[in-house]
Amino acid sequence: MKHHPLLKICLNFSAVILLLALIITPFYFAKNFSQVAGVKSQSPYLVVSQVEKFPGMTLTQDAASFQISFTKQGASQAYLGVLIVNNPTNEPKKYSLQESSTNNNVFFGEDLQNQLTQISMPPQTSVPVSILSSDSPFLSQTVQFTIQSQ
Amino acid sequence: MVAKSITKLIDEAIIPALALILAKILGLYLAIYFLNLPFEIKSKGFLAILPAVNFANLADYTRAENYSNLAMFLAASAGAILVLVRAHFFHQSHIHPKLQAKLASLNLESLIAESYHLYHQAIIWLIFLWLTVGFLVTSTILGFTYPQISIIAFLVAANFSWVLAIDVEKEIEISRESLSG
Repeated sequence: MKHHPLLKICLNFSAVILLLALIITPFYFAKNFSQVAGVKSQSPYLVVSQVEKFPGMTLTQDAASFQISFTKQGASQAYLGVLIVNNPTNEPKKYSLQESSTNNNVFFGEDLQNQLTQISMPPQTSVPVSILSSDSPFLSQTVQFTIQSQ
Repeated sequence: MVAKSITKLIDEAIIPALALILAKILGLYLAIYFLNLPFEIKSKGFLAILPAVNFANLADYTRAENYSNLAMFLAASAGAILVLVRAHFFHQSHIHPKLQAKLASLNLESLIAESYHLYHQAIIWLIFLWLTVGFLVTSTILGFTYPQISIIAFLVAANFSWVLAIDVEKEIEISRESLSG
């Protein structure tokens, strides 16, 4: 009984695939059968402080609420990149800044002409947070803000 | 229709695959039992249907992995040793006549195997042995396995391959003699 060559090729190919599957199965099983329990909750963002680069600037954090104190050298002064906000997740995230002080602006990025208080960040990326202290007679300033993720 | 060799290899691969899986499970449970490692069984842990064993922290997971991978390697080694012993002492082409007579008297002639069967078995067990070595080396690079285990595994696999090569060489010489003679 003659067998079609294409059928022979298909059957032999399938047999090879089956053999490879049989050989790989124990190792796939060995790799996945035991696992480490995953982290139950993942932080939506990570903050890296850069305040040590600015003389006289201090940072206090309480959960998502940040308080930065500094001493100005002039009436209007900008502090670029006081914090770095990271998106450590595997999906894009939207972050917003809510600040409670009036004389100071806190924004994402370092562009004084484009002060963003909301930003959408791709996964595994980071953005700096800057402060612009506008005309104020007080040299010592404190700015309070929160970072929210959506 | 399917090549005889491929069919034979598939046939010979089933038992080693099962042996390795069972050795891994047994090694894991023995490590948990003797080392008192806390764990939980997570249903649908992998492949969305099979359960997985979860360890609370990386240290426990690493210890359990080391011992269970070692058990898996020992199973692969044991299978390879059996095949190599059979290839050296119970090989139909060059078995010692006295041994053959003894086996015949004990009704154990089924232990004697021909080259086709033995070498297919040997290939499969050595493939599993070397893949286990590769698995251990990869685990060592990722930091989950102690390097000593990988080094010993490599040396054992290399030696077993050399022993099989000697038998293959002997077989080739016998074939040459029978062709010329």
